[in-house]
Amino acid sequence: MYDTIQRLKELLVTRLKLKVGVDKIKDDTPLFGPNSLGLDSIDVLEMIIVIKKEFGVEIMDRETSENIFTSVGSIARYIEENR
Amino acid sequence: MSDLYPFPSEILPHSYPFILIDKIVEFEEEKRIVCLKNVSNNDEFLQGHFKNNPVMPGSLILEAMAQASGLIIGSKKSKMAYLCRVKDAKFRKPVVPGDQLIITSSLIDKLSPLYIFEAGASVGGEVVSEAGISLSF
Repeated sequence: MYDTIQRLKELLVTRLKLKVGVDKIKDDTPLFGPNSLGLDSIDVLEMIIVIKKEFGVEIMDRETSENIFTSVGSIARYIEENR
Repeated sequence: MSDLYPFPSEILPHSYPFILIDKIVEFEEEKRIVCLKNVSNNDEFLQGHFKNNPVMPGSLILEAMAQASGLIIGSKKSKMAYLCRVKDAKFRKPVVPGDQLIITSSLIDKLSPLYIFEAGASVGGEVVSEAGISLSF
């Protein structure tokens, strides 16, 4: 689980070019809204592609993605459960 | 060979003077495209860019890449795709009148409505610009 979370943080920062250090992202830092990482809908689509490539986990429908794209922790849990 | 391909204006929603692709040179459906743009003193954007030193604006090279990318997906879609992201754009050499700009784009990922491309532009075999281009419906 720890490895997944760490890798996800690295991927978020490098692939989405976030202006924040990997070590500054907490497992429960929100992805959207105030005091969040400030992702947008295009970022989510990019991350879905990245997650499929890196972890072999597919996120197929909108409802699932809305539920899991709340924090790094919630994405990591979904990856662990569906690997 | 290139006569086999349609005119860019038949596929793209753009028209003169904003078509920055003269013709399609190579095309693999949903994969890859190579296009050509002859940069000429008649191109309007060179009039003031710059005074006595015409250089094709980098932003318009990006636009040409976006149009080339649009051609890859555009032929059978009825909805418009808009440029939604440009990543890691680099401009390595000025593009000037007389240059034949070869614009390439490859579709590297797609997750509807998002299409992600890697694009480049070269003159005389030398890369003048490259960028990641994303289009979204």
